[in-house]
Amino acid sequence: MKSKDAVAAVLIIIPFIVYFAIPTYNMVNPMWGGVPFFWWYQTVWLALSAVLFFFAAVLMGRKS
Amino acid sequence: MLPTDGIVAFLALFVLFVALGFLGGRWRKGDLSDLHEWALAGRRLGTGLVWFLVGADLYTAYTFVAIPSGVFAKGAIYFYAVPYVSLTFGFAIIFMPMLWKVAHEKGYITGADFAKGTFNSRTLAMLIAVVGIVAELPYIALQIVGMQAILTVMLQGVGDVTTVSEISLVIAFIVLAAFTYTSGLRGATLTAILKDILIFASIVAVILVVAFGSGLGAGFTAKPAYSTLASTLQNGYWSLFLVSALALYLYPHAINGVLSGQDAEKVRKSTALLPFYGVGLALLAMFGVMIYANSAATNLVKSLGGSGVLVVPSLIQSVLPSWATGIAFLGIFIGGLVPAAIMAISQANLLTRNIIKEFRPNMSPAAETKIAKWASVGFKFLALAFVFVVNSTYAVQLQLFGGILIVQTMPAMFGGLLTKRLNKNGLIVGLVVSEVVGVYLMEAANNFTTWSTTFYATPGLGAFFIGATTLTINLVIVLAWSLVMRPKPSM
Repeated sequence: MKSKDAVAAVLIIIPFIVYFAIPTYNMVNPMWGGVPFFWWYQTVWLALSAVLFFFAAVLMGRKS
Repeated sequence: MLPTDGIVAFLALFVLFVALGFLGGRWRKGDLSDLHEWALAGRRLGTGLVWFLVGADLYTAYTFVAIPSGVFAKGAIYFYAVPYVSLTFGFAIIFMPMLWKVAHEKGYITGADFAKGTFNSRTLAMLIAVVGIVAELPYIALQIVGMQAILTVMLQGVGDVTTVSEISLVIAFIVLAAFTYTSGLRGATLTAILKDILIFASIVAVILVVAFGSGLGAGFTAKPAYSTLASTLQNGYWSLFLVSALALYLYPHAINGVLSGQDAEKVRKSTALLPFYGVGLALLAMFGVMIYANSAATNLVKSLGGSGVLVVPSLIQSVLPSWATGIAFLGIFIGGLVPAAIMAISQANLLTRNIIKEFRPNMSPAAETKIAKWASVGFKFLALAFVFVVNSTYAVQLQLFGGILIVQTMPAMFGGLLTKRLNKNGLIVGLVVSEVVGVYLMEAANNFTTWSTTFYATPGLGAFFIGATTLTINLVIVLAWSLVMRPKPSM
């Protein structure tokens, strides 16, 4: 049970690390369809965080 | 004015919306004279419905008015809404199922109920209730500003637009008040589904038209300064998204949505999927840049006074055919109405249970529900009056100020879920001090004139969101007080 919670915690923390590392995405290139990296990268991470959070939620919900 | 087919589409869907709102009362019927039936839909909403209901709180005028207008005026800094939307659900999947479990076990309906039960303090509970009610008001007002923006664009050229749109708003609010009164949260849930479908479809339609027309990137070519965040604004960016992420689930309407779920694990899973919802928000935020590549839309905004709140409706009207514009406008219009209803219900709960009931403890459940129903009507019209007096640009700043106020309940709420060791007097002092400092910093940051910013030039950090500063002060007071006043270990 403990290891499940630890994995869930890591899954939840990943999007926090990604978004707090502002200098890693505060740039124009690579563009996607003319949209600067800053704008599309953060949007893509919305979908990725939903997936990570969902796995975390499933792990947290399981009875040990 | 929008051509007739657009107006017809708008009105026809408005009738459907009203019908759903009233039908909600009969759906999964419960005794609506009972407060938890009226206000929490009997706690019987499953994963999908909670997703729509909580999602409805997210897709509000904040999304299609405040954020795009901020991007339009200031650029990348307002894209903070995207990390905010992701991270708020990271916090929520940890704390909200915990809150749901305690609330279910002890019969709590509001956050203030939780504070009262956990810290055994009526003063703290009443303070939290007052902060909740006050912080919701500008949020509701912002919804009305969004609805006004739709009416302004839709009815442009009709003699006296201001009077016509104000009359339309009052009518819409009377209808809304009537169905919230009769159906409670059930009516709001059914209408939330309609609203979400219409808004999603509209966003996709506009994005497709723009992508195949001038291209999504054309706005950035026209406005290259908006491509990235100025390095001086990085501290402002993270402080804004972090505090907003903490604040969302402290708002009474969000807590209300969570407590209406069927069980803690369903709440957790539906919440985890909510960042998907944010993709639409991110695209709407980009409307604030895309509009610079569309001269018809920019001219329309200019001709109507140049306010950023008109960005989204103007762009929609410029790229979509008139019938589709009518549908999209109705989606955005009820996108303001539905959250306004949910917010007014949650204010009414706080007023009735945590303030009036403290003074009239023998009130019957039926009387309690009756007062809550009428209070929800009162709060809606209070917010409406507020909008007629305050100008729209100001309303966006007031909504951010609401966030600065509500986030100060975090130590009691999230702290109270994590540990029993926080001192109640420390929580009270921390809350009061941080609210007072928050108001002062707001005034100081704006040189004691009209509010136009929520950033305070903080030594060593540059422009920093006031909510982050005051939350830090609050946490320091609460933790220090709780350590000093820690009960002696008993043998």
